Amino acid sequence: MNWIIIENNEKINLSQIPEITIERLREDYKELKHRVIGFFGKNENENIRLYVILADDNEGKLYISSVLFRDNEKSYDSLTKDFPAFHNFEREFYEEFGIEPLNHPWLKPLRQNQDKYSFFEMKGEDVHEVAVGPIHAGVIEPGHFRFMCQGEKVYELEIMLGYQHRGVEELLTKSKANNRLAESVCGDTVIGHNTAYSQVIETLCGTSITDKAQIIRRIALELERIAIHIGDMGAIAGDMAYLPGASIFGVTRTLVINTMLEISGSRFGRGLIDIGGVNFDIKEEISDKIIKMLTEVEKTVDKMTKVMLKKPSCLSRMERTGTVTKEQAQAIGAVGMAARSSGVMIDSRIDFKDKFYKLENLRFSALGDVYSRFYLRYLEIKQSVEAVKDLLKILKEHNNEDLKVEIGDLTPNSFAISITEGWRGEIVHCAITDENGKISRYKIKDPSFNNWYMLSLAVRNNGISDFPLCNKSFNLSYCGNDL
Amino acid sequence: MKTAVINLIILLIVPFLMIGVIKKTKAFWAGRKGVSVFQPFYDFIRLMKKEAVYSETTSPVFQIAPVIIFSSIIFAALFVPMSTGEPFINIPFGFIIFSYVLGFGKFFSLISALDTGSSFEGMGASREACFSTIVEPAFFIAMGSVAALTKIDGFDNLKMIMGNSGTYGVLIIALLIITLFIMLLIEGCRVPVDDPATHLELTMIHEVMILDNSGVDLGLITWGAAIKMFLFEALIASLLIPAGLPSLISIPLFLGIIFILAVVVGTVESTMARFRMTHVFEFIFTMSITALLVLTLVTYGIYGN
Amino acid sequence: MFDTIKLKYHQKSKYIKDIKNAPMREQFRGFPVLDSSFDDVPDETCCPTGALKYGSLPVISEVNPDYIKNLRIIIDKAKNNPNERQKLAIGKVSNDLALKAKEHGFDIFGYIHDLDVSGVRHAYLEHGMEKTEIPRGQIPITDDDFEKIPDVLYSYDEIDFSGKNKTGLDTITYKKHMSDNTIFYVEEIRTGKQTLTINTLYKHKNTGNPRTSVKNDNPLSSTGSIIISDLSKNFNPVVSKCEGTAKKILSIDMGKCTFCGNCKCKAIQFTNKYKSASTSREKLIITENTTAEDYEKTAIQSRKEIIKAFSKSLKLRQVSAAGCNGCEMELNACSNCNFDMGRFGIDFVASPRHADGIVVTGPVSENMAWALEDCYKSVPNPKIVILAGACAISGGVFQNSSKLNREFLEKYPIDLYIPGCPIHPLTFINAVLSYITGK
Ligand code: SF4
Ligand code: SF4
Repeated sequence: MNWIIIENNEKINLSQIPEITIERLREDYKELKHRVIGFFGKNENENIRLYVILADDNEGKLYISSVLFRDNEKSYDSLTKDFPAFHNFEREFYEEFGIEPLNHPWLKPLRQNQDKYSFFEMKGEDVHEVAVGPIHAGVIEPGHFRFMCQGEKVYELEIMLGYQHRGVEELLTKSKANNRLAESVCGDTVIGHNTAYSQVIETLCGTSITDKAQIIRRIALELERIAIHIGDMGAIAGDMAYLPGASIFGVTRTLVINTMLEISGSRFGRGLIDIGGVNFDIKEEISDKIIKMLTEVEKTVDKMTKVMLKKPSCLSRMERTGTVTKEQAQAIGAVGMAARSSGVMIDSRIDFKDKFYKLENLRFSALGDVYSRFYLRYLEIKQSVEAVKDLLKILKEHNNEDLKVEIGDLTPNSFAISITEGWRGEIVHCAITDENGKISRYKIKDPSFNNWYMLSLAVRNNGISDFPLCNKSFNLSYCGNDL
Repeated sequence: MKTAVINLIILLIVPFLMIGVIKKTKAFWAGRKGVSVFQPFYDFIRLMKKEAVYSETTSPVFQIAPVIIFSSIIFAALFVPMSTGEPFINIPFGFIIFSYVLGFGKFFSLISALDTGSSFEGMGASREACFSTIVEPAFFIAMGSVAALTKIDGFDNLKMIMGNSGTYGVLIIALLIITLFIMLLIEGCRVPVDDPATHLELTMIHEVMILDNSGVDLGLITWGAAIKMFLFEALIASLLIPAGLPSLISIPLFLGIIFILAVVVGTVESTMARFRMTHVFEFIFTMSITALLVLTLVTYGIYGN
Repeated sequence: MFDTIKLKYHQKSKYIKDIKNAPMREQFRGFPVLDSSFDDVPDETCCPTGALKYGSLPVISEVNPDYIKNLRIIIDKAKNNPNERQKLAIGKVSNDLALKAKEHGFDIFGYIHDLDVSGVRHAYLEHGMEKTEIPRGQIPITDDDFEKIPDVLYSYDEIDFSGKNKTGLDTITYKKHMSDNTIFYVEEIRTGKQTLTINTLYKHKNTGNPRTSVKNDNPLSSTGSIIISDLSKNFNPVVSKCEGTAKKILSIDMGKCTFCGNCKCKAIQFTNKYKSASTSREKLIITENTTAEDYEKTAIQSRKEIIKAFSKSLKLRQVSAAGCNGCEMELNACSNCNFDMGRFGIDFVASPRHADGIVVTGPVSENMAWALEDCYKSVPNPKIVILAGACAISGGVFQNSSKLNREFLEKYPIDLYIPGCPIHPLTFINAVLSYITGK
């Protein structure tokens, strides 16, 4: 057995994880055709063990294995050159453990000390370089972008992040329960990350929480998706300087997050989820309020989207701007909403058969341009509105259950993984405990980690002035990537 | 003399009010309360109280440019017909001086942007330069036609159009207004050409060129930009005010037109998305075409029959 | 065009008309009220950031942790080898003090309180002997009084900026009432070295009851105890303990609090009041005596120059330094149609050169430290610094991270602290508004 196959939210003993060689991994990856969702190292005495997690989206299974690097092994033959999806994973592994993937096409650290490395450069008389950041003109997070352009046309964009690196993973190993920190992994995906975190710890503790808590978590998750998608549609309109779009979507988003405030006391749902369950109930009256609010929101979004998609000036900005083809998206291992907009239909809610959802993959013509991402958001909002209404209905049947259960101790020497479909895409949290039952390694993979490279691909051969629009259409997270 | 003083006051004060009105209009459409129409004054006063910061990479050009830009705009303003239809200085072919003095100021804003050595300021400068080259001929064609039509070579000829436009009067006026209005949007850096409210350095045109200016310098540049936009509105206004009106009527009429135009600009901004950079050129060419149409009509009107 | 008109009517005007008294949903967890007479205060460990304290009162002091230890050496030298020139730092000048000094025309931001051998010797010679002191109605000073200097400096009862010493330097006199005497500590302002150095120290006998006449809004001064700070390198703001208080004090430091509600109980209730910002870091510590009304009235102390320069128009540059994007989203929300911050003339601008101040969010990572400082330097004077969110104020949930570099925040004066995690737009707008208008 080269791989151990488990489900989402399942715990295994560390000894159950097989050990393979890098060459075996290369072969298997080619053969199995599964997606890589985890590739991270951990110190094991003097040696370093590399854990690899692949996802089988058709069956909803996870394949786990490991590669051991002994003390004297300081390099291996890179996987990225064969499979671009490993690109950032290998850079991260190299940065954290110093084991060099040989022949990696662009080996630079991912988060720290990057200024010592040079940028990708193009030679040519007409080629000029435009550098922006780390501080941007808008109220957004820091990141550095380096464009190689000819006139207004972009040939290549290199994205350098890491400015938001604040050691979240390390901090998470320090305590058993720190939901507030998990919420701050990425402040626009509060519920997503907190759910994934809580699930991992609950799995490691062997606790199963009540259905009621599960449902409330999912309602919050969908509300978050609705809110952020609406906000993003407004931001896209704002980038095109289409004022009514920006203001109406903005106002509509406020309705959603204020409902969140009514549920949890925070506009982003902070403090709602804790390990062991949730802290706030959704009572009958709030449930009615949510339904009323959603109906109104859906109406407004419908109306506004229709108007916008009729405007020639809007359409001409969005159509065929920032295109990423399905092949490209698949090759680089894109995930989530952005991947779906390019026609790669992966959605962990559906693929991993979450029993609380009755969802189906959306059908629409995915072209991978800004328009597709805009339109997909619109469709997902509608889908989520239905989902919330469904969930609220099931919630009634679980009225008498507890909100929170007691949690036990962490099982020693174990490995657990949890995948949650946040609004941006799959959020993967892995945790490994040591023999004392303490977390010794915590690993987070935000969807942005995979998708930043998509943005680079998207702006190629586009006008540089379309970059902000492309960027907004992905709305990737800097802090989720930098951790 | 009295009107000249009034005109001077209008020239210095109304541009900020006009910007205020545009902002208010936009706020109205967005469902906001919006800033007071006097906000541009407050901003200006605040900037006047601030120091200027210069980066180490800039040369003296960068430091004197704001003054040159501002004074060139004021100088150009002297040739533009104001409320009474008379410019401060009325000489033959004033519009040529007008255009080139503005061009002189623009040249300085371009080199001061390049002087900062920042790559996107250079990008903004190249965009701006590109637009100006297309705007300029159209302006001359339009103004030349007016001169041909009215047989007056001063800039005060605009007011004669109303009464003296021959066969295709309404059409010519309409086309001239369109030409000047598009020019106003370009020179004033408004949507759909540029977005004055944007926060995206890569899409800006005018804004990106002044990213490095601060304090008093910035105050002068924003004031200058407001006046420049006002000048184009003034041109449209003088087109619409017939000659020979007493100043008691023409001044309120002039102000009325200015503010109505401001509302129109605000409304355009609220209802349109900004064009993609490549489409902006098509938009600018529209203006050249209308200018050419004016010329055709005028020539036809004069020589056709 | 017509679509827009239709939309306009569909949407109507949604902005909040009266931002100062805007209603807030009752579920919102805002300003905490504490009452430890309910005996259900949870354990401090339930708090993810250490904002909750039950026991001694936390003090944000900037005291040199080795002060007491090294003081003995200095005193020793002052008495025995008067020719030594050793110096000892007491601590950093607090923002409060710097602001107060500014009103009197002194710029002492970033200065350090210190004392030197000759100063200490001088104080002993002048005021250490019974035969000179008693006739003056004073008590001779002792070694212990020197230990109390930090307490006097950081929680004085009265202050006077008008003095001058013999060499013509301006002096600051701090007065603090102790149980049976009043300590006067005089410092001279040394602009060259940027220090406030000991000039002299003397003690008065208490006459009558001076306390009644003192307006005391500092939570520290009521305890009358010495600040002994925790161990910490080069005067980072540290939380230190006030020993000697008999009663346990319940407090929440809003500069750290994430308003998560973990600690909610009968003794700790969260009101829906959102005006929690303050111009002083110390004020953010809420004790049982703090009521929301009082807090709102005194928390924001503006300055004349600020009001004069920015009351109608303020442009801000936001710098996001390793936060979680939560605060950034809320800052963006400030400019949306609901809150419409722009109507007060407050806007976020694209370039630091156009700005009058910076708004920092996030705990400031190593990678962002230089960029933040660069940005600050690009802002033309006069300028202000606003810290938005628990992260920026204290490190918040990330305070224990090893990847932070918060030097910037210690180096430059901070004008406004806005608590929250994330901050609520109403908190932000109201705070900035009352800071620039002084109302
Ligand atoms: S609400 Fe504040 S004080 Fe209470 S537990 Fe949370 S962070 Fe700590
Ligand atoms: S204060 Fe809280 S919301 Fe704001 S950046 Fe820090 S963690 Fe995020």
